[in-house]
Amino acid sequence: MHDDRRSKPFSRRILLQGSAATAVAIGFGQRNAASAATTGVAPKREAGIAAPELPENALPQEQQILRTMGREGRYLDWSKSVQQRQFESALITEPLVRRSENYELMPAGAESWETSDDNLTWTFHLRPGMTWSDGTPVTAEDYAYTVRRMADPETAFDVTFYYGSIKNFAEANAGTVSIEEVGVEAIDDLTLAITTAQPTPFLGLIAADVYVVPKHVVEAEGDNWSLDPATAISCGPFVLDKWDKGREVVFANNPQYDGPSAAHWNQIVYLIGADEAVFPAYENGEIDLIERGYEQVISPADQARIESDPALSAQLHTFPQFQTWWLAFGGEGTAFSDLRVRQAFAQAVDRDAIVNSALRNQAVAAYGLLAPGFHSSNTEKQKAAAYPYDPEAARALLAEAGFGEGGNPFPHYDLTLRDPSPTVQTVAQAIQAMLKENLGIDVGIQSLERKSFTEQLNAYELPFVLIPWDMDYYDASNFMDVFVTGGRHAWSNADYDALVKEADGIIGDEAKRAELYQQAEEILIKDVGGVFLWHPVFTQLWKPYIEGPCLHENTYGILSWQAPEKGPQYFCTYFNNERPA
Amino acid sequence: MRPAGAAPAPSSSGLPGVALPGTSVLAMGRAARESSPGGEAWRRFRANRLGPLGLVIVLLLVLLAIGAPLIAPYPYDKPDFGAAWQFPSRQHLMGTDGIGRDFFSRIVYGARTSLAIGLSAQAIALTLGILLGLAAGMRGGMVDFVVMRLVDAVWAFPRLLFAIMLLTVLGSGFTNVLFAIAVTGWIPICRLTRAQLLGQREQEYVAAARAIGATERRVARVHLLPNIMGPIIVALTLGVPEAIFAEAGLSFLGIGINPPIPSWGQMVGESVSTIRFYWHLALFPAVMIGLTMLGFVLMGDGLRDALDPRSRS
Amino acid sequence: MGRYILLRLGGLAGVLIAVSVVTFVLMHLIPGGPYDEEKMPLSEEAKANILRSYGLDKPLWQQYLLFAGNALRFEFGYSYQSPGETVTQLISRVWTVSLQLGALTLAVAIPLGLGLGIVAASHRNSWLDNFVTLLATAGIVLPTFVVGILLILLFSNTLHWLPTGGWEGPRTWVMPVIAYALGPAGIIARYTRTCVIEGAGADYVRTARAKGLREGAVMWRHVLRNAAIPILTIAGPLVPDLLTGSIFIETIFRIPGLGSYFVTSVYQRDYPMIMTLALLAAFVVSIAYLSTDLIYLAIDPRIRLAS
Repeated sequence: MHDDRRSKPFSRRILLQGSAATAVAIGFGQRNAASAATTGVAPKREAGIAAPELPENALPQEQQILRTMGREGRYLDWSKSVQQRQFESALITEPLVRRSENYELMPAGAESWETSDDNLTWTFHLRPGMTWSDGTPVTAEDYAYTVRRMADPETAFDVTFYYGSIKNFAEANAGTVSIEEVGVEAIDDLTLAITTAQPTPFLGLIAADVYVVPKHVVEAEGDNWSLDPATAISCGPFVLDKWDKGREVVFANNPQYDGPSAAHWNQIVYLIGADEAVFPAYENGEIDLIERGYEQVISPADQARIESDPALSAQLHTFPQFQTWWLAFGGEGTAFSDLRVRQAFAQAVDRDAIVNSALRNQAVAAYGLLAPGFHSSNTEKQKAAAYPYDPEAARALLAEAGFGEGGNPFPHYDLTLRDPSPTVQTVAQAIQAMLKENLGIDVGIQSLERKSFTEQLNAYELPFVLIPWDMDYYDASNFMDVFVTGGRHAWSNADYDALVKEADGIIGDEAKRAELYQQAEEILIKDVGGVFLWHPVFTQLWKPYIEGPCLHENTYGILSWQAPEKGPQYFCTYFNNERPA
Repeated sequence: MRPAGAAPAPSSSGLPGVALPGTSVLAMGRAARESSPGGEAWRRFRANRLGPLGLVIVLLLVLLAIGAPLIAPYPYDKPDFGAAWQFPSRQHLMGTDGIGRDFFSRIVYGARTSLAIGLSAQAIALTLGILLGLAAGMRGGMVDFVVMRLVDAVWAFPRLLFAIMLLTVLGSGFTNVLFAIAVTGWIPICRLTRAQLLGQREQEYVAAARAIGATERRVARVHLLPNIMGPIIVALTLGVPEAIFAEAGLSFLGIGINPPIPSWGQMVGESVSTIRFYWHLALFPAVMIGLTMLGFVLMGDGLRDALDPRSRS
Repeated sequence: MGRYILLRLGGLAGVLIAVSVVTFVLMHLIPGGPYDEEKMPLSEEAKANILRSYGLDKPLWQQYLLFAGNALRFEFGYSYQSPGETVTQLISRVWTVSLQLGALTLAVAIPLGLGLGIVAASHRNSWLDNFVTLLATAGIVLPTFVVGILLILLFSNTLHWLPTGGWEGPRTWVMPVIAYALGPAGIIARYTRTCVIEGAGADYVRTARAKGLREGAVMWRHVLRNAAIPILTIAGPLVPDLLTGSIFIETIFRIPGLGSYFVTSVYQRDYPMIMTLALLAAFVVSIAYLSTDLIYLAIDPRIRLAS
């Protein structure tokens, strides 16, 4: 399935000011739970009636039914599987923190948090009065259990590396220490402590991805607890109303929810459909929103169709993603172990031509690993370090390395793709043509389905690949760690490893961290660990009759609709009365 | 369950003409009574108006494939990034694709791949199918039983599932795609051959040949084969476009022929992402596949009329 | 006759065993397993747990025997890609939809194909005949997914008459059934035309005409009845394919049918589902094949038994 954890950054500003208890809930001030949550009893609302008052111009409550469409997942449970989860699973749970439209961390399950003096222990104070929809109180133990369950190899959770900074998390997952020793502890019902092995500046970001599960239900029902509305109890803004497999997932407003993310929508209907079905359905008014507008859903050609239609163009919102596509090489035993060959490849590929043709309007050129606007990213430095497109120089380098005219014939390699869309296939053909034209090298193109590709990539068996990485959390370490020796690719550089390792552990000096990451990235670019080509642009559509206080350009000039894990858009929006009946 | 995304039915049952279970041809009562000289057949073929038209279409397609380097105005694999996504114009008769390759040139070269897939798949089907069919039909008994059970088993295998597993193990590419298509393609021919043989063996002229002391081998070669070829040739002509579809279906699923070599099936498969705006990227390959089908169908109809002794005037 | 059927059923058992062995071997030749490590590899411990929980840690021959033993009792285990459902539950849920779609498609394709074929035959070599030939060819050659997208563009996005997809009643049935039926209808039309023309020239038809029967009566009583056999021959093999769904139609029209599982099960390494689908498809095809042959036997005793 497609990488789905697409998302936007959020500033670490608040968290990094030592204790983040000063966090201000921008855009949520009026319903910040902190004020209301002094008693242990949740204020009851009548079923089906959302907490926040609808504005004057809104449609009546019972008509607030948002429809969207996408692929079907296996579980509504992030901590069972991220890659196989049903999208919008975060509607029925409450993470420790959520993010504002400006990507700032905001209270959610935790009202406030602080770090210890040694920067190793993070203490989260939960919002009092949270209950599961079966009436059971939500406790710190539920959160602790959630973390332990992800670490437990029995769960076989799929992105454990993401939580690796939590003490003993990776060890427990590998089976070398017991699950009880994972660095998470319920101090009392409302206090949770997370311990890290070393100072981890971005732990608050990771806390935003701790989606609490009901311990008492999961222990009783097992991993399938989230499949059935009867057992999939919620402490989030919505409850699971119906999961009609293959057809739709319906979320209904949770009348017991009294937190900061209380929503207007009476229902959110998620229709199950393949990528190809989504855009026609939107055009025909069957859904109100395309949130996951990657290019399999809205292809460059579809975007041309949108742009040719004034009404549709007005509903189009695009923004560059924190995702990077690059060419990576095999190591020892391949021709690519020679830097001159890698550099020749880097100078033989014209990224601008690719971005302006096959990826038409759906990408920006990439010069380095970290996308513009991402944590520690410095596009100017990347551009300065990147080898420019220069076929002459490329040919010379290749000849120097002993290939081409007068030298050895260049070995035949396949450019291997992972389950490529037609667009990515076309890009691969552009690269193939450039290598032929500029270097006289014939490379083949081979597409593998995802699991075969992954298996061979992880075994360093693929000499030449075109592959993306997208953001898990807004911190450079999330990208930089990919190229550390022993990571995804065969490329290895001791200086790079040392710089990244040092930067990963610095707390409190963000300027220093950024500087180190940028130095490391320069090595990565100069030593051609990868040829960085483009950052995709995400294409979203929503109907003009949707509005909401958080649906505006944020402080970075971006107007986007984030998944419930990543932003408040599902919680602040509603239909105004201009919606046709 | 069919390897093709293409037209559901034809791909499914192999070929329209070939889908006939063993007994069908008998059921049609199209038993030949005597062998027909080639000249007579050719005269009858020409008399059919559409048959020759089909032949002309097929010949033109073959010429297109052979003469591709002469006909195509541009290389099929050379991008012109400044001219991407163009609609048909005087410079580019069929427009350009996402990296500015001349689509007309790609269509012309696509004839090579697509016809190669179609013809090779049928060549394999013919060889395997006729040999096994002959063995089963002539020998009978144990040989027949074993061959027919093999036929049953291969035929029963869900083809799409099989093709996907095979291509996942072997990787994509021309040979592997061809293999995935051909591995089941011989079944209908085999069945048809055997059924025809069973029908013909009891005919009077065969009995007569035996009576005057002809060996089984001679009976098969001189008397039986010529008389059963009609329906088989029709089946083969329909099988060519069939294999081309099968490739389109596999391309839709992302496991077709490796680029940059163009094939019509691959173009149609990829057009799913462009068809809603850049219609030319879907239209032209679809028309070419249609033309191929039409050419072979018409030729097949004409051939059948020509080779059917009953229609002799 | 009874012996023949018994023999064929014995053959079916052999076919099912052969199909299951080949599928099992092929499926385990594919690299990777039912775990997700796209971003980073899973820990060995976690992987081992997944394999153990699915019984994949046992030697392959044991796994096969276990599957075969359970299959004899009609137990096919749990599908990996749809947790909480047994393979049997999953298949009965999605196959119902495919059966509806397939039945509707047959109900459209057969009359349409017959009608067009008869019209073409009775106006042989006229422009109408050529037009039908062209139409039938178009139906056969246009891939269903292209037809599907074009139908949606026309009826949903331009005219706004029909919903783009789903499987929620007649309005959602129209387009997928048309897209799915065009191919079979084209094939049936072509064969009907041929058979009717051939039949019309046969001796007994000439006799009937000579006796003074009207053209319409000749057509119904003699020509069509005799054409029924070859047409059945064509339509027969289409049936199992139409009834087991099409990923192409299901993807484009958002139909929760069986066809997609022939693809997703492989990609998700859903071993129990792959095995069951292979057996199911083989069974349906074999039964359809056997039934067609039996119908021939019933209709035309001249046809000899196969072995």
